Amino acid sequence: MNSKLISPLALEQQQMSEQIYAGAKSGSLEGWCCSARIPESVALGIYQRNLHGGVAQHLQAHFPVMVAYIGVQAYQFISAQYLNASPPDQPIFTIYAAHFPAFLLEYGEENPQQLIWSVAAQLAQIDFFHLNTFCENQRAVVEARAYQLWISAKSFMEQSESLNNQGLYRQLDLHPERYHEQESELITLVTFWDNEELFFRVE
Amino acid sequence: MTDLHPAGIGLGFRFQHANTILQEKPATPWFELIADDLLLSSGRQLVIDKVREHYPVALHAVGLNIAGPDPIDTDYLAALTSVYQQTEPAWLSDHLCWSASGQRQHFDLLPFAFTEAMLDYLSPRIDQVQQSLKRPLVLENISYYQRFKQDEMGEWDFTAQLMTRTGCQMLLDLNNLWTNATNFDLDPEAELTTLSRLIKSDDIVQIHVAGSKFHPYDDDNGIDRGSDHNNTGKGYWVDTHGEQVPPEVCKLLKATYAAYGDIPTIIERDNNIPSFDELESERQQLVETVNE
Repeated sequence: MNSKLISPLALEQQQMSEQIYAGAKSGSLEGWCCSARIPESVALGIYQRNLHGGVAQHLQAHFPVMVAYIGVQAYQFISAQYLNASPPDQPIFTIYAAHFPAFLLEYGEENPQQLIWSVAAQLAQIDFFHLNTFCENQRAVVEARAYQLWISAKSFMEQSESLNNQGLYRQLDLHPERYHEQESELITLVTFWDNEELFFRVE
Repeated sequence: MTDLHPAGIGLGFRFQHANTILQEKPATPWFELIADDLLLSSGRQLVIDKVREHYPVALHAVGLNIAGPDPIDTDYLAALTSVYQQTEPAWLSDHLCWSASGQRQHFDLLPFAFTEAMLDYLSPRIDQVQQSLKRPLVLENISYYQRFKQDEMGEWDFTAQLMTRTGCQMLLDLNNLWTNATNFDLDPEAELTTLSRLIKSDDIVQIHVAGSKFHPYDDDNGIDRGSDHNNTGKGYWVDTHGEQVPPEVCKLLKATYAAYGDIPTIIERDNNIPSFDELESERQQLVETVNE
């Protein structure tokens, strides 16, 4: 094999990657040359925060209604769980985000006493459809009850200038128990353009 | 599609602003599009085709992992090339960095040592991308929080040699230059002078300006107390690209224009993204400032 095809820094890059993924278990790396402003441990901490904070921040951009529903603390917990259980292995972040609703569903099934995760999974599915579909006549099949909750939560977000970080689920009429009482019919959401803006309606 | 070349100070296009841009057709002279947003067949290209009817554009990618330890991801490169051909931008840029190792993606821009061996390693990888795109690749300088003891040359010397070897071009991120210089107790303007001595004007096709955030550091107990806007104490800057362009970076932009002439520039906001109107207002203010 041509030696130029092997990174001369492959070992260092692998070590650095491992250290960053190690999260709180910070340590120093041989060969690093830091500054008076940024000691080694601080430098590693910046990269660790960039990874964990970056993934959380970018996921939040894909799932705004779901995040508002479960609240900041629960969201930070579940996004960290997702990163640990399923580290991203492809360069396109949207692909990583696309699997998040399924992770929430699975997490909800593993923790059935915590109803919030299965409700969050359904909200996340609608969020993803809403923010990642840009053509007409795209369809998503969702539970009518989840769609109703998504509309209510979104409306609340638009009316409130500052959201309570504790999560909309604490409000009685948005509580997850209300969305687990009975089977819900399935509906199909369909996208359409109007005045340079894409909307969706119930088919 | 408009064939106009990017010129002046534009903005990074963000999809949450698409409706405003398409409906109001603001006076923004051009947009930089995130190529990675278009790699999936979600229909976003239809939105971009509408933007292209009115504005010159450039493409900016984040996932090439050009200095990564693994072979270039040919699926990613093929998708990128397809988006490049469909969008017909003025150029396509990515970063002079690595972002993944093995099965671990970092979604971050990670540094490497500036060595002869890395020049040898990078040159065929850049050639591979340029053959696919059939045009020079544009590479952006990143912010970093540590350097390497193996460094054999400075950043601008390394970049200049890479451009000579491969014909690639440069996207100069002035916020990254400023952040690195400040964190390593160097003079940002002296860094720019060094850069302008080594890299000629034709090789810099675009400029980014943005803002960083200051993190004070408590030396006595080693606790990072988080960030605030007080940058007078001991601490470091983190490149967030989530703040307004600070006066120091504006000053560097004016110095760059003085050294090189006008180069197409955008305000790049990746985090803490405000409404389009706020961003456009910041852009207009920056135009006024550099013209003073």
